[in-house]
Amino acid sequence: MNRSGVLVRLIGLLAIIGIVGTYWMGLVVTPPDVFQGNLVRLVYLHPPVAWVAYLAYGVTSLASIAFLWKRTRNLKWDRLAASSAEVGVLFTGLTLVTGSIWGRPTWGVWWTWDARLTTTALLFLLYLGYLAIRRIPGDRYKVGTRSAVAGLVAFIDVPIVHQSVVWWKTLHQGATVLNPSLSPKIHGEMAWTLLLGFVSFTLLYVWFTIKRYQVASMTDELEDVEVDRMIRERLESDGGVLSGGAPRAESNFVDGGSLK
Amino acid sequence: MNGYVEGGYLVVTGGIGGYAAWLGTRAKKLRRAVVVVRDETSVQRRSQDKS
Amino acid sequence: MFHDAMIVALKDVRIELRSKVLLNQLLPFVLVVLILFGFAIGTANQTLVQVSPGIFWVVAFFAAILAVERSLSVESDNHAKEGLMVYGLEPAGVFLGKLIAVMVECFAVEVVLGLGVVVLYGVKLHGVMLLILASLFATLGLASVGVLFGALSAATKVRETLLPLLVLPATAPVLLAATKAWEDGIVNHSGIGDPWLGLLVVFGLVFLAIGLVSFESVLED
Repeated sequence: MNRSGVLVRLIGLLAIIGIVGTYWMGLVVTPPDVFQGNLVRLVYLHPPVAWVAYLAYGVTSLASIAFLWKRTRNLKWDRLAASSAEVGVLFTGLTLVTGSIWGRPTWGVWWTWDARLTTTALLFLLYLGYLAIRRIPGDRYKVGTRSAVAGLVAFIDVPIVHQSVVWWKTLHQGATVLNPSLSPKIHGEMAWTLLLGFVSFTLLYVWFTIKRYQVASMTDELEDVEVDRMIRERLESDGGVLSGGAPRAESNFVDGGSLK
Repeated sequence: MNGYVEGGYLVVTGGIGGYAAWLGTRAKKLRRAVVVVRDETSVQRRSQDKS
Repeated sequence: MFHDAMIVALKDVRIELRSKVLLNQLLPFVLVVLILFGFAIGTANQTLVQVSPGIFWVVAFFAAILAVERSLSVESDNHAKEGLMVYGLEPAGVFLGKLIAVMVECFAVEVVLGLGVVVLYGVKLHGVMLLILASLFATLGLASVGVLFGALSAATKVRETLLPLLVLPATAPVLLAATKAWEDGIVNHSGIGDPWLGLLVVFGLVFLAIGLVSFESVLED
């Protein structure tokens, strides 16, 4: 196995160890919170998962911009945007479910129309739409352009969605980690657990995205070869004009090879 | 603990575990297919070179 | 660009005037929906008046999706889009033209809807200037996103079902702001200084700009 393969494995391993560690710290080591009781244990999970969702969409947006910009146009960016968005949708789903599970005993309802919650739900739907656009068939660069424009629209839309919903209604507790005035609320092993959660879920995100990217580029390569073989078979059955197929295969392989 | 905590941890584990499993099987299948196709193509190409 | 836009817009409006899909199908449809909401919510206790801004905009949104869908199927049938490109029209002009045509249709729907709300639900309109401006910019934002996403999803057969999934979440702020602006106008008698109007203006202009800039790469395929 080459060096980058080892690195990917290492990231995956660290992510798993980190998440097991977070579970152990969160479920066993840390004490129940004074106010929230055992429910505080969900807080070690929910913010890191939500952070990964936002991180993933950030990466998708940057990759979309890189793809749209003519000087950096490369299918690599498209694949990265796609992979990151898919992981992002997974984590947004998990964010919504864990948030809901936390909200039920805390607020007494599964769902509340608070700004961040509503924004996240819309974000989930927006990127589901993005993934749906990606599935529209077409030439790879066309698909890439379409998706990048859609990704950009989503990216610009999110702050507006958020602002509108904030104006509309707000009763979520303030951002616990980012707000310095509230930082005394979390301390000691609780803070370490949360930090470990952030680090290991971020590693998991990186691992997932790389893996998803590899799957995407292998699918592309396979498609190229498949199309190529069909062309060759067709040419052969049409009278054995083999030379027509060979150069195409060559160029596709150069393309496929440069992706790694 | 209180059901909610276990539920939350289970959902997250299930979500990431499911996705990892899906990615893993997909990658394995694809890798096998790519290797087969590459072999075939190289064989074909070699035979083309001879002719 | 404006010249090209006028060509496309006039073409679309003319198609609309001749086919009369709007007149014969879309306008009756919105009236039916208004009556159905009356049945669903009940006519007692002013409830209908209170929720009328929301009903107005939800119906307007669905009608707008239908209008966008119609404006696109006009182009994809018989490869008319290729024709547009062969004529050498500027992509930004095509976007603007489609946008104007869709907006004209939406305004027609909104006028009928407004009359329907006044007549059927007994709503008294106040802050008319705010209502008109809010409608103008809400329609601008909605139609911009609609035409852009419509062009993005034009290559698929499942466009009819995909388009609402794409457009509705993206334009959620428009629905929110337009409804609130109408509530402020009708219930609170607010003027045009309403903050929701500001949000509608920003949204409309931002997505108008995105459409103008990005339509070239969208239209390439």
